[in-house]
Amino acid sequence: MFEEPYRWMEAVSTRHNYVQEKLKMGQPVLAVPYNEGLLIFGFAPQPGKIYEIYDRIALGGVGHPADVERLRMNLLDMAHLEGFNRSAQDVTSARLLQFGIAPALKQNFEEIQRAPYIIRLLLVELNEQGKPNFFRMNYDGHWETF
Amino acid sequence: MTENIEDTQAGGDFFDLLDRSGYNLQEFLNKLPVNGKSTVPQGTTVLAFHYEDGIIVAGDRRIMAGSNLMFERCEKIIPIDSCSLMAVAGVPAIAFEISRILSQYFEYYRRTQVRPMSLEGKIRTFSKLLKENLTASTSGLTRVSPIFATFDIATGKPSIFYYDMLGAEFQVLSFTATGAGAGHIRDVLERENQWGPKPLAQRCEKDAAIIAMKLLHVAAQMDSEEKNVLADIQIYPILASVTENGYKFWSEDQLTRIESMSKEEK
Repeated sequence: MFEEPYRWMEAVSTRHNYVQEKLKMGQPVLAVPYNEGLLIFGFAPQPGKIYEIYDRIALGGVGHPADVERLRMNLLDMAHLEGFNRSAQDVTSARLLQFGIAPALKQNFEEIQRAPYIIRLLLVELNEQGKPNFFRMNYDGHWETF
Repeated sequence: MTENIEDTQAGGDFFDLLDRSGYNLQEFLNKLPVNGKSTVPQGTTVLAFHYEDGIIVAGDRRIMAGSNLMFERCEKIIPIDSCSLMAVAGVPAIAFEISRILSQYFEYYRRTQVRPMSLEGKIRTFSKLLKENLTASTSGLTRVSPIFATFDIATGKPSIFYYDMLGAEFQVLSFTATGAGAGHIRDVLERENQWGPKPLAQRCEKDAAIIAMKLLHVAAQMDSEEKNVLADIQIYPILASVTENGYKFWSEDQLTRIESMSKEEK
């Protein structure tokens, strides 16, 4: 497909630029911990911003609403199947991201011919001790906690 | 996984999701033993009726296995969501499975569609679950006639629905009961409703709880396998209510108090 490795790197770099340009236009989502839990909020009445995923897991998204919607559906499906087959306690955002969403996003991003997901997600949860966990998921499948 | 992303439909149908994941309720039900007498535990009686603030749901926690009494703490009144209870007098395994599926379903719908399911939708979902899964089996053991008690926040009204063996839904306007002692209970409730001091739907919470407790005693006495009716059979009642504030279960202390109050009145 690409005669030189340079061409492939150029393609990936262009892809990054493209998605980041698109993401710049998005309204941000903020999440803050406080003594009773955590607060997640977005700006103005924008669709595709804050959603409930599971009992103690919420999602905030920036980017293309349709992409946010697709990933939201997947997160919900995974969470509910897991919650049904095992238990509500077994549904954690780390598992949802690490085993569910991240591999798929990475794969999508690597397929140069396909359109990329224009998306950046914020996944927040209250763990069993009531402490908040924050995760950020990037469009290329890179995820981190902070 | 990328393929599945495209195929996902945003319909909020949890049954569909379960099917795609390979879960098969029918298969589970078909594996249950098909026989008259067996050692699979069977439930006794549950009842529900309207009272002043909402709905009272009561059941006897005794579980019979053949003619042995098993004192398991078995819940026959199962919450489905914050304002709904399901009461089943059938095989516990099925009741638990149904309740799990339904509660996940309602939550899944609410989260995917970003709005709660309407009351009619919930009733129909329950009905669909029963129809699709419970009619094919010929075993008497898999028969479940559940009672669904819910408070619809949207309309501010409590409703009781009774599902027969084929999954048809019937709205219950005053009272209902299922299980072994149901016939006797229904007779007593009819009498109370028609000729008591007030119709059941106007009774206060304390009166309603006392009636429910007395009825469980009636059912226990009539239902016993013993030919001699024991005057004071130990029952393990469970009592719950559904009101505009959601569902609540009576605690052990409260149950003891209601029990003693029901014995005082004559």
